[in-house]
Amino acid sequence: MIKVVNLSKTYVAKGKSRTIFKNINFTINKGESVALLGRNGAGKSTLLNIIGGVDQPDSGEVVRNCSVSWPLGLVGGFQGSLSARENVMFVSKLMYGNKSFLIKKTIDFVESFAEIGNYFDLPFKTYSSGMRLRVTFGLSMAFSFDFYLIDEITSVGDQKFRQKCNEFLVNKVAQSSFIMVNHNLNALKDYCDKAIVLHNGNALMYNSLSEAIKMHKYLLFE
Amino acid sequence: MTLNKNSYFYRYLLRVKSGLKIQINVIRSLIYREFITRASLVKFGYFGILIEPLGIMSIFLAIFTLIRRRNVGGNLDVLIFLISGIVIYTLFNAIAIRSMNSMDANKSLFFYRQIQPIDTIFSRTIVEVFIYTLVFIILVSLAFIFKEIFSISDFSLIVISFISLSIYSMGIGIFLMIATFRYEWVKSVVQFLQRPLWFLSGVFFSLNDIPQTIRPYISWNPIIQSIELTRHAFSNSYPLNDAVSLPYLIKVSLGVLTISLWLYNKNSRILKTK
Repeated sequence: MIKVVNLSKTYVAKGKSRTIFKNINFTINKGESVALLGRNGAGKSTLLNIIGGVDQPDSGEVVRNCSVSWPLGLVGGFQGSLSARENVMFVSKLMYGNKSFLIKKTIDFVESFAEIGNYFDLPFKTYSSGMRLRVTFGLSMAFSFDFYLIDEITSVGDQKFRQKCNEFLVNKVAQSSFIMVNHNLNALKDYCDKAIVLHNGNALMYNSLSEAIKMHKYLLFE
Repeated sequence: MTLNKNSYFYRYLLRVKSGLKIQINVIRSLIYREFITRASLVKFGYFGILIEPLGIMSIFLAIFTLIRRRNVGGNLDVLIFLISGIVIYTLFNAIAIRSMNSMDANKSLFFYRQIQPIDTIFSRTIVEVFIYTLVFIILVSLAFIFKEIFSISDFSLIVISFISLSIYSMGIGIFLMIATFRYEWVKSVVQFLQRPLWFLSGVFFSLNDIPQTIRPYISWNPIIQSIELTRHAFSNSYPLNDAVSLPYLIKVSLGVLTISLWLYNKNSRILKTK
């Protein structure tokens, strides 16, 4: 269960402060997959980052009673001068400690998932953006979380890779829950059954995705 | 005594245990990452990590042994005198001053929720202490072989003052990390003070060389305290000034660490805000 309690967030840039959320509350139970809807700049990615613990709110808190992934789709946390193998090793050590069997399994999985050949042992900074995505996405698929935070991931990469991603995501959504941001509304329908619409600092929870999309479109074109 | 499994105390213990386990995993993996990152930036792999500090220190030692030919006090060898100074000062510099930039350098790591800003300083301290302990041992051994002497009067004092200074450096590192994050001008002030600190830390002089009147203005510095104690530990004949004391060094180290941890506790949330 993820419980968001009285969350507020304000960004200050050049002396002007902009409120992203004001006192929002919602609860997402285990087994529910939720789409985040809202116009550009409504705070979808910010909310995802706060739930993932990458960013901190000004006030309020996020209660997590289960394992939550890092935000997928962002290429962060990788050291450019290290190879993909070493980076994956680092994250597996972070997750598993010293269990060498599990670490080896993770590295093998990511290597076969990414399909980037020799590049797997070259410095990460020499990769193209597509190759980076292959590695980071493979890494997130290697662990099983209760909640996956997914930010615009299905819209990048070549067609074959996108297909592969979708296959994995469909398998994952059967066991875990997703919190998803995607401007392609049809893609959301494959994974989510609920939705949260972000508008003017408020968050509205909808139990049906189609209703939420209707509202979202109305707010977009009003 | 049996512990009630629903008691507050038992649940608290469980929380502490799982928290500790996570933190140990984090620090271990950060140490791994620190080592392979450094090794990937230099030649000759892991051995290359030691070459840079050894090279810089050898040049320093070569120059200053030529300058300081005269007796440094007691039977202490000039080379050991200088090695103690340069290794301990560089250790402080590596932990405390470089921690100042750790927020920028490690920003991408906070992508993983488990990693807290303080973990990067813990792991950096462990890595630097490991590297400079090796450098210290190598340099002192070379000096012993080269000069055909062997003098260690008080091995435990060397270890204790080394550890105390590491703790002090870590405390200052945590403090500087928070201060530079909140107020950017702190960074330029520290860089401005870095040079005078090098001169005031007694890297190439003894506290006994300083005139009595200005001694109190210099002796408060834990770095010079640690350096003087280490020199005295190598040879008991090296005169220890009255202003130098091990209890003072330990008290200051623990005091600085306590204050820094308290400040960190107050600021930890802000440090991870974008």
